[in-house]
Amino acid sequence: MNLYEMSAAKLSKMIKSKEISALELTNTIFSRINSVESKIQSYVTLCEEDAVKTAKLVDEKISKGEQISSLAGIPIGIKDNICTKNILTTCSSKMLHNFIPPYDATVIKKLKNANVVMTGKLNMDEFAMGSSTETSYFKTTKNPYNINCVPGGSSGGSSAAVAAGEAIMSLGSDTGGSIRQPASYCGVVGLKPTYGAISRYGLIAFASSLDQIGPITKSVDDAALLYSVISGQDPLDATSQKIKPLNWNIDFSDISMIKGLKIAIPKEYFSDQINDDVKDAVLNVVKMLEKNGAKISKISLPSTPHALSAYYIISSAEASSNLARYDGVHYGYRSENYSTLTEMYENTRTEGFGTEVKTRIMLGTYILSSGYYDTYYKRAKLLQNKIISEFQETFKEYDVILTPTVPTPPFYIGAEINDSTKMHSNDMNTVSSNISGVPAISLPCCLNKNDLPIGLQLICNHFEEEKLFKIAKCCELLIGDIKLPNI
Amino acid sequence: MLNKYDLIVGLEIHAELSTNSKIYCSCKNEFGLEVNSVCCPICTGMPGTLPTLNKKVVEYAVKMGLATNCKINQISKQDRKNYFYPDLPKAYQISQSDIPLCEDGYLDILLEDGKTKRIGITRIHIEEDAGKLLKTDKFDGTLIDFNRCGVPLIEIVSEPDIRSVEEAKAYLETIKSYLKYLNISDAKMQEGSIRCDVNVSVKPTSQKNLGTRCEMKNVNTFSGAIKAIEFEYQRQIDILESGGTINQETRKWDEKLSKTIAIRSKENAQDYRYFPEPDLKNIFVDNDTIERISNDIPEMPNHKTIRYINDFNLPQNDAKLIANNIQRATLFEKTYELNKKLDTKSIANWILTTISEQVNKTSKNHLEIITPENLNKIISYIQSGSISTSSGKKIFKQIVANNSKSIDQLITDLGLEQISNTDELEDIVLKVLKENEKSINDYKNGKTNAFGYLVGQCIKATKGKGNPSIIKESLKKHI
Amino acid sequence: MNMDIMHLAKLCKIKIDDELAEKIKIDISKILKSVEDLPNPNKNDSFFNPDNIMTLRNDNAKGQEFTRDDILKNAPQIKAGCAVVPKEID
Repeated sequence: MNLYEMSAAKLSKMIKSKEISALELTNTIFSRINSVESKIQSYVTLCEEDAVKTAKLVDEKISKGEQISSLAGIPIGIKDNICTKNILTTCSSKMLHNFIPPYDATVIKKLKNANVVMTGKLNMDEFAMGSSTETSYFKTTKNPYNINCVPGGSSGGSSAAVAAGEAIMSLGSDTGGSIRQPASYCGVVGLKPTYGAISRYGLIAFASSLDQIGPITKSVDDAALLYSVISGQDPLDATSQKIKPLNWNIDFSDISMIKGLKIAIPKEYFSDQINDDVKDAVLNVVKMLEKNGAKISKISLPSTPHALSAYYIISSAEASSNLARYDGVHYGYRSENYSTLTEMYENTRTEGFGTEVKTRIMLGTYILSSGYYDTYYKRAKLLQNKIISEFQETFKEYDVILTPTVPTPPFYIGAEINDSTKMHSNDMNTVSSNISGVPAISLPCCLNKNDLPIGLQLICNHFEEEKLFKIAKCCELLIGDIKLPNI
Repeated sequence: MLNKYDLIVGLEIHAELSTNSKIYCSCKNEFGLEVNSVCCPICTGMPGTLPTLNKKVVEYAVKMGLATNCKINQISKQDRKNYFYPDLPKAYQISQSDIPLCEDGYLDILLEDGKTKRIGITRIHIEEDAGKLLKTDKFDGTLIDFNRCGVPLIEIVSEPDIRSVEEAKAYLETIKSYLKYLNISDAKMQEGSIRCDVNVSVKPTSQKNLGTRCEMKNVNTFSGAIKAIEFEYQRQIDILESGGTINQETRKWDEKLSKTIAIRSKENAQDYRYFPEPDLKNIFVDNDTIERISNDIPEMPNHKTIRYINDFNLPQNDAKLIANNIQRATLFEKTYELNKKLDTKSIANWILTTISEQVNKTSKNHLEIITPENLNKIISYIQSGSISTSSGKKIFKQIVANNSKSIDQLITDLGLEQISNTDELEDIVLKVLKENEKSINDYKNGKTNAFGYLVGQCIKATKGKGNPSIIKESLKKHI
Repeated sequence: MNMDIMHLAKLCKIKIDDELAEKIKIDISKILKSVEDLPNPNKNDSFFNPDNIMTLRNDNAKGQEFTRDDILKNAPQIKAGCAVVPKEID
């Protein structure tokens, strides 16, 4: 097995035991990037020099016998909407093609403190609006399992990089499914944590009340390790919350906990819109769980079919306001063609934003206009409350909800970009956890007959990440290894 | 013609709060520093940044709310007000829309005729200030200074209860004195720390319903606000008199042209698309905080004024001048506390003339110029006749010049002790009368100023130490 | 759907041509139409959740962590220590 194919948990042990050096690992990742990046195109910016520096620092610490963190020396890629001091942060938009933040996001500070090796910044859909990376200003990232397919999005670069061995793990962000859907498409693990569990400070906002940063990794252990490093209340984020720190034991493998586990299977998540391969794959895992003693119950979450509409209303309303600051005044792109202020504003925004972003800004602006607020925004927010209470009721009786992550296997590049309804339906099973704030994880359950990954989603109650990781790890053990992509 | 129309005014006053740090970040809240030297990624709205609300801002707003008899919403929220302008780097202002911190209050203003009038306070809410645009003829562009971005503001919205220019003036002054009294704002108009939006409408006296209003935005001086009201009143009456109708619109006060100019009609009114600020959760003000702040609120200046008039018999103007300035009021009240036999008018005179002159000359305030103890001594000695008024002023000068000796020591050192011994003075009076027979005759023949001359001669004979009133009495007795 | 798409674009400070206007209008209309399936709210319904409260920051001013250069290094046009926009502001 190549180093770039291994999990962070395993590599960390090897670094600590001096079986390999951090520098060796970093060099391996960059040579892997050299050999596959031209096919996969997951990076917007590479940070090899800094990465090597950090790796050497870790090796030095180890040689001196100093204590190092569980992720020290592990190469991690960062989605390009998370601010990194003095490193280009573009949101894959022309609007920020030249933006160099003067500060680090809180998660980046935490990673730096843990001596993580940052490999670079990863491609995404423009301002995280999309499900394929096709709305990126720079390029479309390819699915490592089939380079004619999309990697999913918006954290497509983050997922593809991990699947292709161009990073051991990565950070993504999830507003309506943007971590879980690409994780599912690329056959990796992706967690959307509880809203408030991880600081959003430094995450360039799409929809503030829904956005969360989360880990994308090769295994549940890795997701838990990364989560434990980056989570916790931040004085710079008023919406972050005090949480019980997670002390993840990577040796946890006790599948006996499945016995008696109450698993809810909501029928709305297995509707006609779900591809049969996907349904079969997920239900196959359900069967394995049942065999091991889990109690499976079919339930109903009746507001689910409306969740997507509510999601588009809330997220677009917030986005229209969050993206108003891109006006060419003191950072980012400015049109060269203007004489008055209004011309500067209009030409900058017209030239700087892509169509998907423009559409959502206009939708959001319309929704918030006087006279329409009650019809759209208020209605969506009321539905949000209903969805929350449906989850609360469910978690009174059940430990976890199990669903397919995405209705279909990865689609071909270009297949959905001009069909907004189809593109939006990617998020139908993921948006509810954003709307209600509960944590949800996607993990690969198999490859289909075309060797494309299919993912399943587990959802727990607010701040029950530990339980979610444990259940996910049990599933992972039952499912066994998934064949790695052949690039 | 003016009598046929009522003037109706409502004021929205924006006051910058004098907190240490800005409202949503930890940058210093300080005026007058070099351009773009007190900002950070948060207050300049850089991508990815988030606001965190300053506790003091909430407390200051609650303080103003309690002082103006508002209901405090223990749970309130913040909202985004969206509009594009280069001094607003996020393209939205974090403000409060439907649930402000304070609502439904009032304050009483004192009018020249001695009556008070109650003005309703609709609401008080917190929000952030914007940056400053700098324009110069030398350069073809507008410069932006972000220093002021994120300076905390409260907006105090009055009911349309103001019915005259005089009331508007009194209301503005009262609000300003409140801000200073509560020590929550510098309330300096010239530094732009208070600004206001003025809403004006007129209606025929006989008509019940209010007329269409016009709003004047961002008036930067009190005198500007008053002039804008006067101008609008006349403009709107002229329109109605010539058979026209008032258009609801936003106007601006042009100081140079001394007139208001339409800038936006109702149809083109800005749609601010308010919605709840998703980066912040609700503000909760607990009962203990409200109680603590409430205990911290002093007697307010308008109430003091009325008390000074009623209890101390001060003229309204003097009472107001003293009450509106917390140092003056403290000096006044503390001096009186030390000796309740003091003539309150004398204290007021000392404060408003001699001491105020000194305040104007220096950058010190009244309490820094003289302590209540020293002021009490000076006035007490004058009142008892131990020293003359002019000697009192000499002593005051010594104190101002930082002479650290006690007042008693100064009187001895400067030889300012006044002769108030009747027998001693009578001898001098008799002597002077003997030497000035001509003046006695002149006085008897009706030349009243001859008496003054005689008093002067007596005081001269005492080397200025004779008590004038005793001398006068003695002279009258012996002529 | 009665929507003045060009006016909406203007509010957003975005210029769109007729073709894009048509595309965006269709996309927006689809989403708005799907909202019409949502339950109709009552007039008195409120989504405000009073329990969702936050801790406030203490009023401590920090030393200036960022220099003027940090703040302006991304600005497209700088003069006299300030970001610059066109003179004509309407």
